[in-house]
Amino acid sequence: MAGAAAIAARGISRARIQADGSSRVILDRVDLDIRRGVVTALIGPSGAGKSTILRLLNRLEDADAGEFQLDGKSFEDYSPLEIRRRIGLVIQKPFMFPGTVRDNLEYAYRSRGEDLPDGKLPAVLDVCSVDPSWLDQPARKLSVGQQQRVSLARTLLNAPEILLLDEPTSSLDPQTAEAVLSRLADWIKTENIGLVLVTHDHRLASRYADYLLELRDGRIVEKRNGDDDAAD
Amino acid sequence: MQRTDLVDLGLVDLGLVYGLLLLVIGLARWNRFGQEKDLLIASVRMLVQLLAVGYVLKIIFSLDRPWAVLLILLVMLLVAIQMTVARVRQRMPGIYRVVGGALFLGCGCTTFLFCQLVIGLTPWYDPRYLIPLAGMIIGNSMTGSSLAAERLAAEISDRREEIETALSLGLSSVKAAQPAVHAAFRAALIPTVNAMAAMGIVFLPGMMTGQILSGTEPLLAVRYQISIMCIITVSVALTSALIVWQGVRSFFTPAHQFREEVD
Repeated sequence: MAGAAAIAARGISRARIQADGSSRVILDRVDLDIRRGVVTALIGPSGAGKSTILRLLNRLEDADAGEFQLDGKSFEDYSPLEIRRRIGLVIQKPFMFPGTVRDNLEYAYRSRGEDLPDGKLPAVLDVCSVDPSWLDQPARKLSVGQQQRVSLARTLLNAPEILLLDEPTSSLDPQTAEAVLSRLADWIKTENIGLVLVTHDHRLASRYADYLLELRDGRIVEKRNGDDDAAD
Repeated sequence: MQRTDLVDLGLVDLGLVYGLLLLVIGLARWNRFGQEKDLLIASVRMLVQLLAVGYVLKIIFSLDRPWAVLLILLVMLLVAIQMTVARVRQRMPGIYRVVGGALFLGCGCTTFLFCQLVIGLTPWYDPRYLIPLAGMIIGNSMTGSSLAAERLAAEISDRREEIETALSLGLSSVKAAQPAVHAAFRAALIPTVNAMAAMGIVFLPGMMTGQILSGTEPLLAVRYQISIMCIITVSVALTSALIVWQGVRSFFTPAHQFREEVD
């Protein structure tokens, strides 16, 4: 069952300077708790600030105001590289590094001078619906949907404690999307990983999320349990 | 063995070749090639700039003072920095610091090493050697630097998704941007490598030609050319390496994030 929040975000604000020099508010004093072993879905229209929250959680950028804590300690107390490994982000548009699918899956390990742990690969490939026959194929030859799954597997293999997914099923057909998400939901419960799912698909969100947060114009306008919504 | 009976080039001779150039410009105009204005402007610039340099060198040679030589080298370096920066079209944070530091260190170290350890100049500031040698080193390094800076900025902008994906997996910014760094360094060295490979076959290098014309024994001129080419390559490699190493860091914050986001 969900314990204390792994990540607590308080009063998070973020504005972006636009090309004309003016500033646009993306997030406005957002509070957020993310727990291990549960699925937290962020829903809302595009431009509501969903992807920005994920980028802040992965520290690809920093908030202008507010504080993020991981296990009760401020993000500032960790190195940004540690944050990014422990809080893994899968960007919506998958990027494949040159080389094979295997090269991509081993990418983070190789860059740290480590070997990919042997035992994990088959299980992760299964969760992400990555066919083992793809392993020696050039990654860039795969379809976008296949790349999206490889990209998910690549981040999962990095052993994150919190997994951030930005529209992870946007290029998948409905059956594959359901298969990946249901296996992923089981996986994060057995591995005790916190999952943050950004999607505009309300049906998908309410089906798999334990908590649902709705963002609008940079503010959280509604918090509810996923089950409540499914009962509607 | 040196022959110093250099054929004098008088004003009449100069007028003659300039007349030939004007004739070409006239022909270009007559045939409506549309290049005559550029040719005219460039030829006038050349005339004025070289005359000015000639007089400045004459003054500095007769002054024979270290400060005067260093002043000229400083002016050359500042112009090289400005021209390098002007050629970079993409945004590069702190470009003057990066380019200035790289050219100053790269050209400074190699010029000093070459003039002191290889040639053994006495006095160390002998303008007859130091100014032209530094000029060649700075000029070539400027070309390498602008290629390095331009290519680095372009690669980082083109590879933004790749770099952010690598960052999101926990790589440092320097590691994430490594492919961009390698591409920029390769691009910077291409002209120098090509020049070295073609030297003596496709063209006779200017310095060697000049020395032979002024009576230097050809094999000595060749030895000078080989050593200046080596030191130019070292300087281009050093300045380009400094630009890509320092430059790549300037695109990221200490938290390994891209600097300032603009929509």
